[in-house]
This record gives sequence, C-alpha cells and structure tokens, in this order.
Amino acid sequence: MSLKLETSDGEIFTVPKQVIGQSGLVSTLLADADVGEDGVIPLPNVAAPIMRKVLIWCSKHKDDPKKEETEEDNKPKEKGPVAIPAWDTEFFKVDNGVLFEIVLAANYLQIPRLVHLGCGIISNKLRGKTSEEIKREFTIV
Amino acid sequence: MERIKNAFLSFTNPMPRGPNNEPKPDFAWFEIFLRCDYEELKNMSEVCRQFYHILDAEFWRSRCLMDGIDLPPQHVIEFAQKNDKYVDYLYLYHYAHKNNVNPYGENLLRDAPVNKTTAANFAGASDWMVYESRGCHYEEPPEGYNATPEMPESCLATSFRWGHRQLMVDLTRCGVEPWILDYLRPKIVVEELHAPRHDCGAIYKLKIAMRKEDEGMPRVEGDLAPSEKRGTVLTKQYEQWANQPWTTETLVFEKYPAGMRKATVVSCAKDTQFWAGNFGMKFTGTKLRLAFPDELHWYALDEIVDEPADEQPRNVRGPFRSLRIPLPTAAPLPRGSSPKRVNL
Repeated sequence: MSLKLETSDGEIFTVPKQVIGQSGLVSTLLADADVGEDGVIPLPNVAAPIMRKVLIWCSKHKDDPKKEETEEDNKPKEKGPVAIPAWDTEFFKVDNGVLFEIVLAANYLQIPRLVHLGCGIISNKLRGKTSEEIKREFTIV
Repeated sequence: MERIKNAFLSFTNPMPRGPNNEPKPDFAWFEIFLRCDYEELKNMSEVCRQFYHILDAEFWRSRCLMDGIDLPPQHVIEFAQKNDKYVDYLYLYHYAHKNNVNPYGENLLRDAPVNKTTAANFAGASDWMVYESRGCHYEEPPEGYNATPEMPESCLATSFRWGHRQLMVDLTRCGVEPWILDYLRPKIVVEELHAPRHDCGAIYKLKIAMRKEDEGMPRVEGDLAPSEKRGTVLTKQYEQWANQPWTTETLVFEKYPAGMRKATVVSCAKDTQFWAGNFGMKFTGTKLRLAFPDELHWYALDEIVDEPADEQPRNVRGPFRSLRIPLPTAAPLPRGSSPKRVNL
C-alpha cells in the first residue's frame, strides 16, 4: 500500500507504507484515523528537499530488523565518538543547515534512529574543536 | 481530507520557532550535547548564550539518566524543593562520571574488589575511597567451608587476633551534595555476608561510623564501638560446629549530626579458640547504599548534637591517594609459646 504525503511547500510524495512506517507519527495516524486510498497526509513542518532526504534514509533502512526499539538502543553507551555506519556517514555528508533540518524533521516525524544518528554525526563534528571554531561553524544555524 | 488533516495535526509537535519563524533547533542541540563527551561540554556553555541556556538543570538531569546514573528518589527531590533546595544535577553527574560511581544506586561499592591488594590499589587510584586492612587473609574460594551452591567466590578470613577491613567512602565525592547530608540525612545501609568455619567458633562485628570532612579513618580495635551519635555496630558469634551458612547481615545507621561527609564501614572478626591459621570468621560481598524513608524530615542543623567519636581518629595528611599499608601493631608472641591448641 502506498501513502501520499504533502510537504509544507505543497509537493506530494507517494511512498510505500513500509518505508514511511518507520515514522512514529505516521504510524500513529494510520492506527487511529481512517486514511483511504486518496487520503493525503499533510506535513506542514517539513519542506520537500528535506523530505526527499528523509525518504532516502527510510528507504535504505526499511528492512532493518524490527526488534523492540527501546530508549536504550539510541543512547550512547561508550565514551568516544558515536559509531555511525558507513552508508549513513555518506548520507550525512551535507551542509550543516541541511543536517539540522533533517534532525528536526526526524524528530517531528518521530524516527528515533535517524535523530540519534544525525545528532551523533554533529556531536562527532564538535569533537576536539575550540569554542571559537564551534561558534564560527555552527551558530549561524 | 479535512478530517484527516485535523486528526493528524492533533498529533504533531509544534516546531519551536524563532522570532522570524525560523526553526530554532534547541532540541537538536540538547540531543547533540547528550552525545558529547563530558569533557567537551565544559567549553560548550561558553560558546554562546543559546548553548548556555540549553545546558541547564534539565539537561544534566537527562544526562544522568542517559548515562545510567540514578537520581535521588522523586519524593526526595520534591520535598527538598518545598524547602527551597534544588538538586544540582551537574554536581551529581560530575562526580558520578569522574569516579564511576552511582551514589543513589544499589551499591556504592559495586566495583570494590575483595582481594586486599587489588582493593588497596583500587582505593589508592580513587579520590573517594580509603582502604585499610590488617590481619585478614584473602581466600578464593573460601577454605574450610563445606561447599554449598550459595557460597561466595572469595572472602577475607581472619585469625586468632582481631583482623579488620575498613572502607571510608567520601559521599560528597560520589556526587551527594553536602546539604542533602545535612538536611535530609539519608540512611546509611550496609550489607555483608559472613560465615564461620564449620570447625571453629568465631566472632564478627560490623560497624558504621560517620566522619566529618576533615576527619580521617578511625583507629580500629575489635572491641571499639563508635559513639552513639556517630555510628552503630552489630555482633555475631557462633560456637564450634554451629554449621552456620553464609548469612547476609544488614546494618542501618540514621539520625547522625550535621556535618557528616564520609561513611566508614568496618568489618572486624576473629576466632574464639585462639588457633593459629585462619580459623576466624570470614566476610565478603560488602554493599553500601543510601536510603530515604517514605516520610521525610527536614533536619535543623543543630537538631542532633555531635559527640566526639570514641575511637582516636588518625589524621589523614598527605595526598588522598596514599596507599594504606597495614602496620603490625600486635606484639610478637614470646619465644617457646605456641598458639596451637589441640583439636580434641
């Protein structure tokens, strides 16, 4: 089954349910409301370019083992850099601005794993930088 | 369409936005900082005002939880708030993280080894524990004890004179703020396993003694008890052939004066038949935790008047990390006499 999603700038994405099912927000809606074949789900807080990126990530990860995802899985256990898989590392090679937008969208759409990885990437980037360097690189966002 | 939209919007979290409707990623920074090393975060609050505000009490509380550091019980936090005192989660995180302890958890002594040498090294490398032992012998597994499934892997055994093992824990360096010790006076709960050898009578004492910030470890003699205001002691004694299994004793001390900062746990034991060799009581598996009653009381600072401790406190001067080397203080036995008794 496919679903239609409408972003803040009016673009409509048609995505398989299995892909967008990773979004807690969309799953909750589907469980509680009756969305027919023609139903379009509005996402007023996400713009099309970011949605595109999120859907690429969701597509890649749609077959990830669906173990009982608890709070624990997305918490760092060890000291040191957050471990990011290779594909995701490439995926996150974008502008800092886009990076933040992805994290915000992931939070809005309730995709904990994407939030965790996005924040992990940024925290790794902060590693070893001085206050000045961080200020220069990040506080425009 | 409208119905779906309305149903959907009732689930959505409003995106935090700035004055020009631009998204403000405070939440993102919060999550990012949760994943940074603590050492990195020291500088972060100085980068800009936004960061300074994000790294607030709520953040450090979340950080404690994220890293498995238990918080004081909720009813304690609320009771303190009513009395205008607020738990400093950064203080808790700083010490708990630095010293790898969990002060409001199940056991402050979770990582303390039983083996004397390893334990002394462990304490020497820490800045929150002081360790001393005299007249104890490490056994792995416990000897002269008929093996049962419940037998611990190792223990300290004692001989015909009082042997002891003493631990002093600086609670403030574990993340417990001084005001909590002064106004709430959490109970000090100690648990320890002990057992006699099956073939020899033995005696055992477990003591808790509180110390002030500038007080060192008390001098330990088997019969010495801490003063009533500063501590408590329990005694267990068994006859030969008592067939006593390994038993956990729990000792609780509360209602101590203000100004206490450290808790000392002393285990003393010996045999009661004066035999050479390690025939005295064995002990192991020491646990120390803080407990708060359901009904809390806000103490006035002068509510319990301090008494000087009965024991002669030994001054701990010099680096806190000094390795304590037990000194023999018992006089050697006169030549010709033998401590051996014949076992009839």
